[in-house]
Amino acid sequence: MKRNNFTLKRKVPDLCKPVTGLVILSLLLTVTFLPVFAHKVNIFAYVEGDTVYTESYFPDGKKVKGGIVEVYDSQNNKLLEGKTDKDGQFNFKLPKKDDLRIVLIATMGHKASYTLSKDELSDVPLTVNSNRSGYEESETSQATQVDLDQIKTLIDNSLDEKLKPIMRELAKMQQKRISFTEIIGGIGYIFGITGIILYFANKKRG
Amino acid sequence: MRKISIVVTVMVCFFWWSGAKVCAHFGMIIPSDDIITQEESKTVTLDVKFCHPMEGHYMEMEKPVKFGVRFGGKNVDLLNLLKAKKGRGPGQKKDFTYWQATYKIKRPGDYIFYVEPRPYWEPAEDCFIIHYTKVCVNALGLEQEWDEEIGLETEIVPLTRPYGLWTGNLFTGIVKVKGKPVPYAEIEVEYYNKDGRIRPPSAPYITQVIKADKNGVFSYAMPKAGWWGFAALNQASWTIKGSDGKEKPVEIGAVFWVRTRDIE
Repeated sequence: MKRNNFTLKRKVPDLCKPVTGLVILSLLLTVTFLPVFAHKVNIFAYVEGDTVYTESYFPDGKKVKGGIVEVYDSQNNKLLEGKTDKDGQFNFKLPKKDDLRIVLIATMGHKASYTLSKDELSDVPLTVNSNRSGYEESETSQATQVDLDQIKTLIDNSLDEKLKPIMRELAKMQQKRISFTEIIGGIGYIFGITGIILYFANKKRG
Repeated sequence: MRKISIVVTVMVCFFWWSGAKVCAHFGMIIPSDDIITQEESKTVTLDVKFCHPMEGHYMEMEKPVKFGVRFGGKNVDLLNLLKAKKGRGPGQKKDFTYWQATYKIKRPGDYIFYVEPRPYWEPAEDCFIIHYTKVCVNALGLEQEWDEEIGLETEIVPLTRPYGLWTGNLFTGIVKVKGKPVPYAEIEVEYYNKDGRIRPPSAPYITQVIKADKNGVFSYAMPKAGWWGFAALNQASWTIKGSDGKEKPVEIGAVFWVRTRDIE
């Protein structure tokens, strides 16, 4: 180690100083930026009962420990804040029925956010309106959601169906080229027919 | 003169043979997306088919024996999600049955969908065909468990993460039968030529054929953006009784589908 330091010190003055600076800077840049891409953090949230569960993790499954989780409503008001435990989890009681933006701030500038939309919360009866009408409301909103999905697939399907002939025509137009197999097949037929003719001609003579 | 006619007959046979189209069967599971991000719909539609992928031709498919997903270390049965659909490829004159499932992603991680079809009788080859087919869908940034085994009769276990692949990337996998690597296994590779736009210049271009090494490991670089199918074919140690009452051999295929995208 010591010897290395020594040689480095001696060599530096020999080199053009701005160049060394650039090299060091670029090295620093790669060192600081690469891990950010390689270790993108993620946060995932879901609701069960009246509790929001969050999980923070790296792509390889490693948990984000001690990351700060902030929860905002649709007006961007900060509702609460907490820290992930050793399993990357942080849970909290549903503060209000609104689009919730959940932001994870991990160390080294890692940041991720997850939005729990209002309709994902629709089947969660808040303690305040957990009476019968609240129940009905959640059921109807679920029903409309399903309907929308169905309508979307219906439209997609019928569009696909309608566009099929056009797509087929397009595909055909691009297919008009004569393929190698067809040429070979054609040559084969010519030889075959000639062969048959020759065979019979031969037989007659023989 | 007689000699000429013999030569001609031989040539006819040769051209006939080379002009015939070689078709490779492939079990297929093609999801609507292979990577589900936070902003996207969490619903995946999966098409389960039995096809000639390069020709885009369908074959009739009965309701599979097994259809499921491996997630969180467990195999979950999804057979009742399958709905029968009709479809045909470019140039096909009638419709064929295939199956479709709609699955809602609930948690982050890798979802390995798998299917075990009913044995398909192929008179041309005088054997039954069973293609155990898999595809992996990644959800919400957690890249975990894509290399897990389902425990099928035969399967390809990827050594390359099977999603987020660029065109030209190498796909490497290991062929297993009953959980054991198959030395020098033969693998057929085909591109899913969905709209029939690609016209292979001759038969060998339709199906690429590669062999695994002595450890059952194979690699293939995929030259075009789209879905690529890898089918490792082996003969089963068991037989199935055919309609003529005789025991027939069974071709078991381990199929894996991956998607590539152009780098741009």
